[in-house]
Amino acid sequence: MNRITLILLVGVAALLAFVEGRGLLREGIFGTRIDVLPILVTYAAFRSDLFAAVGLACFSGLLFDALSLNPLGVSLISLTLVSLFLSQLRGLVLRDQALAQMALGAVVATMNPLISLGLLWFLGLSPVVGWGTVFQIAVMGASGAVLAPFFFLLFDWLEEALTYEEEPFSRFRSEVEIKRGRG
Amino acid sequence: MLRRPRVVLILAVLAVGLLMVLLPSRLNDQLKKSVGWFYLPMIGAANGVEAVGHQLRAYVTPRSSLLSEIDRLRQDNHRLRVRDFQALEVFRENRRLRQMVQWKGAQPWDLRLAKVIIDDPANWWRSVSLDIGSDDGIKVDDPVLSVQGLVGKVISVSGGRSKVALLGDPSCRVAAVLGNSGHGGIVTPSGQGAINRRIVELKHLPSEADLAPGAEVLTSGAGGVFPSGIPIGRLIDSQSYDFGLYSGARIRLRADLDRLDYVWVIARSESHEEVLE
Repeated sequence: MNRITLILLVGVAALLAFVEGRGLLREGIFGTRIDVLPILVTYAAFRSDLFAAVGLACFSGLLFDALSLNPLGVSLISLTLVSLFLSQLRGLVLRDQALAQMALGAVVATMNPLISLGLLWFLGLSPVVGWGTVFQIAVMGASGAVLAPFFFLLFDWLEEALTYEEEPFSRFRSEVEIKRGRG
Repeated sequence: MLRRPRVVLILAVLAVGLLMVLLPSRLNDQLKKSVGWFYLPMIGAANGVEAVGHQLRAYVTPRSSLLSEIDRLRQDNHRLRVRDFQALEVFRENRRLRQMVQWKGAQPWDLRLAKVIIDDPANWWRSVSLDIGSDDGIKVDDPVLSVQGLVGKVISVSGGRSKVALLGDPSCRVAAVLGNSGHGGIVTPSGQGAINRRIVELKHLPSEADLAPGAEVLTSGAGGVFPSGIPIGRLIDSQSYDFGLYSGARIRLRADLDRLDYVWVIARSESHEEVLE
C-alpha cells in the first residue's frame, strides 16, 4: 500500500471515529450504531502488512474508547485481535472479489463487538445488553457486509490515483547501442 | 504462520492493551482524557460548520417568520416571568415553613445550559459529553435534565468538558417514586434498553404498589444526588419478582436520549440567597 493511502486511511479512521461519537447517526440503523473501524482495519490488513493493520487498530481503538465509556484499551485489544485473525486469512481469501469482501466485512463487524463485550465482562463491568444485543450485532454484521466492498472500492481508487504510473518498457538496450564517431 | 517480529509485535500490543484496561479507573480516565485532546480541533471545526449553517439559515429565513417568532417568544417570556414570581413566592413561603418546623432547607437549583458535543459510539453504554466542566462549576454527581425530564448525572469532569451517564446506563441508578401512590423503587437499565434507549426498569417496588400503566414516575430525592420531583417517565407495564415479594415495572423515559442537543446541569449552589437574588 502507498504511504499516502495509509496516511489517508489513518485520517479517515480518526474522522469516522469522531463522526460515530458526534452522533450524526444517533438513532443508528434499527436502533444500532454502526462501527466502520473494523472494516478499515480489514482493508489495511489485506492491502498492506500486519504492522500497518495493527498500527491502525491501535490508533482507531484508542480514539474510539476515548469517546466511549469503555475503559481505554478495550477496542485496541479487540481490533488488534481482528487484524491478527485477518493476517492469518491473507493467503486464503480472494480479496479482490466483492463477495469475499462482503463476507470478511460481515465477519469482522460481528467479531469486534463480541470480543469487546467479552473483555468488558472479563473486567467485571456490566454493559447494557439483552436479547436486543443479538439483533444489534446481526445488524452490525450486515452493515459490515454492505460497507466493506464500498471501502475497498474507495481506497483502491485512491491508491490508484495516488500512485505514479510505472514507466513503460523501453526497447532501448545499452549493450547493442551503435557507437558512432572516433572513440 | 507468524514470523518472530510479528509475534513480538502482536504480544507487545496486546500486553499494552491489557495493561491499560487493568489500570485503576482514575488513571484510565486520565489517559482517556489525554487521548481525547486529539478531538479538540475536530470539535472546534464541527462547531464552526454548525455556526455557518445557522448563519446561512438566518439569511434564507424570511423576515416575517422571524418577527412572528420574536412575538411568540416575547409572549412566552412574559408568561414565564409571571410564573417565576409565583414560584419565588412559593419558594420563600416554603423556606419560612421549613424554618418554623426546623427542617433542613431545600437546595435551590442553579441551572447551567450545556451543549451535547459527543455521544457514546458504543451500543452498550449510555453516555454523552458536554461542553462545560469544572471551570463552569460542574461537579461529579450533578444531575442533568432536559426540558422533558431527567437525563442522567455527571460522572467525570475536566476543565471544559464533562461526561454524563444517561438514564439506563449501569452507572446511573436513580431513586424514584410513583406519582400516584408514592411507592418508591430504583431506576435501573433494562435489557430492552439495548435497542430502545427510552426504556428502563423500575425495580424493588413493594408488591402492594399501584402499578397502573401511564403512572408518572418522579425522582424521590432519596440518596441526595437528585432533587425530588423531577419527572423521569411513565410506567408501561409491570410484573412481580421473587415469588411476589417485589414488583418491577418498565418505564418509558420522558427525555428522548437519542435527540439530546442542549441539556441543563443542576450545579449545587453554596447558598440559597445567592440564587434567590
